[in-house]
Amino acid sequence: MCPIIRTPRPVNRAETARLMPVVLAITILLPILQGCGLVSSIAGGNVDRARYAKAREAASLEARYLAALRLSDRLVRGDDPENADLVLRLEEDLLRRMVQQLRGRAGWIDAETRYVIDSLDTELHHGSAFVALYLSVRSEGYDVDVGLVMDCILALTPDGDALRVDFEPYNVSPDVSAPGLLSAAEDIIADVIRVRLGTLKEQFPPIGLPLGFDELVAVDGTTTRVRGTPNLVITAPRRLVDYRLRVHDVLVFDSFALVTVNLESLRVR
Amino acid sequence: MVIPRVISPRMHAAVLIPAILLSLLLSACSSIDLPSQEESEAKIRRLRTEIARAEQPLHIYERRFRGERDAVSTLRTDVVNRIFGAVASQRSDDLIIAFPPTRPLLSERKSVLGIRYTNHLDIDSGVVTLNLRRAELVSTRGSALRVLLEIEGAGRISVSGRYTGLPASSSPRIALSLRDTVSMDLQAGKDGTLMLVPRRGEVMLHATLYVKLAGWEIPWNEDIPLRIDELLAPVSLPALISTSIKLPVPAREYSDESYEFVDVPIRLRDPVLFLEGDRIRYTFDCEFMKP
Repeated sequence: MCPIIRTPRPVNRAETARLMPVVLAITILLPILQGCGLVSSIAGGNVDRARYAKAREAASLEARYLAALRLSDRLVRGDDPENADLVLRLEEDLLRRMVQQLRGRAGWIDAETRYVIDSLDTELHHGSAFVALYLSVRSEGYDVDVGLVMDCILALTPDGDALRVDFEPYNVSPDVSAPGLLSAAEDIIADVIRVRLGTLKEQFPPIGLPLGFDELVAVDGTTTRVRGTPNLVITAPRRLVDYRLRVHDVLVFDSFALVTVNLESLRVR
Repeated sequence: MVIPRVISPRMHAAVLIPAILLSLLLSACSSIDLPSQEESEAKIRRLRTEIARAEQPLHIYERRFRGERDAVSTLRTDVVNRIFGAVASQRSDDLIIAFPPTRPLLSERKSVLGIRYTNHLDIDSGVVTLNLRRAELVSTRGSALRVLLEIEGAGRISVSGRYTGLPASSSPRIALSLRDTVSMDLQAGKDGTLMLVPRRGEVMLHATLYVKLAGWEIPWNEDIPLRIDELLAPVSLPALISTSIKLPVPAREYSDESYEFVDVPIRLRDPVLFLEGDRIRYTFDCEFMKP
């Protein structure tokens, strides 16, 4: 038998030029169209609910794990929270009800995208607090209404004379439980994640819990008349006691948050 | 006439591979980087194990601070002592005692050779400033704190009188001191304030006066009962309790500049205050009211 010798098949330029648009269409345009969601949005089938749900769970577990490590480290290295002069313990349910006061609040993701907070779901874990904001989002740009879930870390930080509760978004996904979910949600999410997740926090203002860290307390003066031997008029002058407290730490545990505070200075005037 | 030219597979690949890479790159850029379900599930399994390990040392703290009420504010009694210490040390005019006329402060009837007369000493006026030298929490019982008070001061007062029928006046030195233990009750106000309220009771102000009046030498000592609940006003303690939260006002238009806030009042329900070792605990539930 003669060995088969394969030689390169000659391709002429005209044939190549004719095939090139097809090759380009297949290799470049189609993935772009698929990726940007336009094609699949029209088809309405690009929201993989289970995939989103798992990705969301993994993202929150990762944040939770890192926060637990940080808390453990802080407690091992630092003081016992019970050594603080004052400790305020806020129960998880109280924080949940406090955050739920935002239900129905409207705001803007950007100039074209308005949101209303439908509900909020708060969870405390060791070292971290999470809140899921269920948003009804109206995008003028896409001319659609979608349900989104914005997962945030609740950051509890002292701010002047208040405890500030900030929302730090770390994940946005379609609300798979929302009725009439539109596949265009993915486009909005893509916008939010790629363009604005870093600055999205600014559109979700914090809650303030005034705590009176700097307090000027008046101790009323008294005047007492004593009739006897001898007669006396005893006056205790009015005093102003100026407490200055400083937050030492804010620690989040599985079912409560602790605010540890020390009495920094005390003046009596 | 077109002369057919041969394009080798290598040249073909040189065009196609960058095109494919570019397309994948663009494709990735234009969609969300979502891991596959299997990748996420593997990550979840791994993280659950790691979280359990990381949280192990934290359970002891959770058990120690666990409670039933919405909020608990805990104050070390040592802070109460620091407040008392500051009140004691930072001012020296803690009590001002004025002496209105007392006539007589004392008198004695005498009879010499059948002549009867009365020696008497009056206080005409005077002001003495007392300094709280020491205020210290010495014990706790129930919801009461026992506080040791040491107050003292001295000054001159104007006295006058008659001795063997002769009028005379003087400005003797009077020393006043109070050393007693008083009970103060812990009380919670509706606005979340924490108060130390003096319990009704008497303390003794010890007065010592030595007067020389026209040859009459009078050592005078008296324990003057004073109502402590009238003398001392309730003292506020820091409690970190809030009776409102600040919520952002809904934004009418897009802005990343500033927010407005509105106060939402909180009503404190069923406050309970108790002493536990060297801690004052104030527990309560919260009810959010309409702004």
